[in-house]
Amino acid sequence: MTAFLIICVDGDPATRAALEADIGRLTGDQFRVETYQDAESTLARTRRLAESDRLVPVMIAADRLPDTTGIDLLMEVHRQARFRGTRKVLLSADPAMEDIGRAIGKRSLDGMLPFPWTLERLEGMLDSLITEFFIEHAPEELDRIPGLVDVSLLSDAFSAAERKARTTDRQLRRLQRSFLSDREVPDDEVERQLIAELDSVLSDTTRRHISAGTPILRSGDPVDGIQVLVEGQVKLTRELGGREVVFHSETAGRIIGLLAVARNRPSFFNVTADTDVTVLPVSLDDLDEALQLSPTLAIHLVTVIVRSMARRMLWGVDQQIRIDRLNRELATDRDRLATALRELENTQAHLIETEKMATLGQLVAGIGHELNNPVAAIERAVDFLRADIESIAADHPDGPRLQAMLDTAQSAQPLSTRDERRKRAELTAALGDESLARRLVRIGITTADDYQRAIDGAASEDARLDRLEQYHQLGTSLRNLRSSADRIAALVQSLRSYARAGREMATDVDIHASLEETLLLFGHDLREIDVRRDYGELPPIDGYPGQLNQVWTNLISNAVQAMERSGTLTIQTDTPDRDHVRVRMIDSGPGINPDHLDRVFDLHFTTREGRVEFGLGLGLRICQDIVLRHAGTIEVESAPGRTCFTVVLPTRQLLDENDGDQL
Amino acid sequence: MNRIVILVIEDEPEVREAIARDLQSFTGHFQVELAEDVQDARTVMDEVTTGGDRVGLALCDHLLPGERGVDYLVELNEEAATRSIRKVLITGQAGLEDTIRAVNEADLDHYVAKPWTVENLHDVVRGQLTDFVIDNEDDLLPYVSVLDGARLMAAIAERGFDR
Repeated sequence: MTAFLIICVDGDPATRAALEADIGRLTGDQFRVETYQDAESTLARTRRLAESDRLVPVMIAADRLPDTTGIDLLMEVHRQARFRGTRKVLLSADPAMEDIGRAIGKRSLDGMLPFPWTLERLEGMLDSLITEFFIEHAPEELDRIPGLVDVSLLSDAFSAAERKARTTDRQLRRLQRSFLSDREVPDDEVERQLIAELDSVLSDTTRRHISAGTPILRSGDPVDGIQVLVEGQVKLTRELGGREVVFHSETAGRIIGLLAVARNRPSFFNVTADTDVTVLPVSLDDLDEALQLSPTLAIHLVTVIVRSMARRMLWGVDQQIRIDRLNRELATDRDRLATALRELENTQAHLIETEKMATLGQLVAGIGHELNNPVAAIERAVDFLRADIESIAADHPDGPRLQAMLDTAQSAQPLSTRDERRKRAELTAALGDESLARRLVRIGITTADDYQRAIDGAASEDARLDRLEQYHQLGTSLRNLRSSADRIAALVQSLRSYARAGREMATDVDIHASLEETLLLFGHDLREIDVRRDYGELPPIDGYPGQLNQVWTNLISNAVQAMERSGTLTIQTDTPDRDHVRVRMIDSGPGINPDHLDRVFDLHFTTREGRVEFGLGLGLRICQDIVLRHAGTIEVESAPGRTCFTVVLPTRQLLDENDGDQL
Repeated sequence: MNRIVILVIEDEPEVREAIARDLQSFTGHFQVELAEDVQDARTVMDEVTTGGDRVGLALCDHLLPGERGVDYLVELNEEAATRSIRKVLITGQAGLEDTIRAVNEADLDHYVAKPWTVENLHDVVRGQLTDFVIDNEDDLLPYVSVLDGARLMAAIAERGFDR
């Protein structure tokens, strides 16, 4: 037997292989999976297929193909009558809604498979699409694919269809009336007339009595006649996926085997007596004979057949509606799941960021502590060196002079390179010796008079200068040691206070000190930024110092990045009222896109490319969290050249020990 | 006068002084000039050229106020008159991108990471100046004692054979 064909189209060989493997696994031997890389090769295949009677229940196309879009391919295939029934699925990671709308409008899209797919999702989709396809186009083949049929979908659809069929009965009857006669004839009456007619023309009208639950006909049995239901009710069922599914009971009709006889096929359904029933069996030959004998029998038979067919047709339409609705519900569920997943991911990122900051804080505090010892040792060593050198100098015959040089070098502010060159030029002019002037300026002797005093009474001018240079360098080194150690100590202090654990609430947070510590840590990043401080009088406030530092850090960091590292950052502080302090950070950057302005504190806010706009993103969300935790507010206003973040904090917090543990 | 100048560009006085002191052993044969930013370095460059001297080695910090070190080195590499200057970046913080730019566009000759050791700094400066004098000087003998003597002697021998 020819296998059914599932066609998959994707430009990526790996995706094609994965689709082939997954679908192959799910559908088994009855199906063959063919993959194509683009629309051209797919359409070439469908042209060849058009001449065969191979069934193509499903076609899956990726939404971006090398030569066109998946939607356009599916729509093109749909235009071919031969493949109208083929269920068309778009495989997409990021579907374009306009295109999908267009395809749905033309009924050429039956499903969406999100990329990457899960086996479960793929199976659910294939089952329902394949079930739909076979019911519509090849119900006789359903038994070849028992494992694939979406049993619950069918079962639900059928019972819903049954209910629907009853409610549409009146319309049906109106239809029949116009078709058959102008008298409204109820179903019962038509059926009674049919039975009476058969009784009058058939030679053998023996009834068969069948008790409830007994099978009358099995699916696949050859049918050589019809059985007219005189009393009772039957149900039409079919074995699907190892389960007996009821297709019809009330809508079964009065003529059993009609469909099989009309299509000259074996029985499609199992027919079982639902109640105790009485049937009148009529062989095909007898029926032929009866029809010849009684023209009215034909009319009655046709009426019953039309009613039956109309019921089936309505049932089919209803089922289609039902399936469409289910598919829509599935799509909605999928979207909801995707949204939920996105939110979870963002929340997770937020938690990780928060946790990272807490860990970093502890680490920094620890390192700061460790650094204090070596810094203290350096600072002490500088003092010891200085004392030792001074006592050595004191023993030298030139003691006071050397001592003075040492002091000068230690206390002097280093000359700028420009000043040094200028002084060197002046001294060269005065002394007429460039290399001597160079030497002298290096050790702080910048005038001819100073030079005279320095060499006064020296036995050797050179030896004196050498010695002075030595002491000058000693002094310079001591000064540099001390100032460098001071810088390290200040950085350590800032780091420690910056990282002061968020758990502890302080009642004396000095906002200005907190801002300054943060600014100090930015160091090089602020070199090309003109930082203007417009500080008002602020009272100390209650708060978590480490967390507040984090707010300033994020705001300054955003400003610096927005200005692309050069511009003006203005920090204003004031008190809007007695109980609040206000900090404004104003940068001269290009401003935030107005479309994005209301989303800058949003956890989900990233630009399309997944890049975070100006580094906004988690940082600002964290700022907002912290400010809210302090019962404060944070707002942003932005225009090109002026973006202002305003943080307002209450001066007093309601003490709640648990609050701090959250960060 | 026709002296070869080592130009040091570094904005922090402590660091600048430390580099200057570490380079003292070269001052017999080379002149060390200090600049605190790129603008200042241009002034020094002009003064050196006006005085008939030339810069042989630029030792440049990257993070400077105003223009950045790498940009200045790129600029030196674009001018015909300054292209032959050996270029060394001495920095504690240059990102990958800046470093790539320095190597690709400034034809950076060496990279010294802070904190440096005096041995390393001496090796780098000696090597770079040796390259510079071999490429630019007719008489290499005066530099044999202070630069890489072996390479200079080899270069002298080679030149002898050429003639």
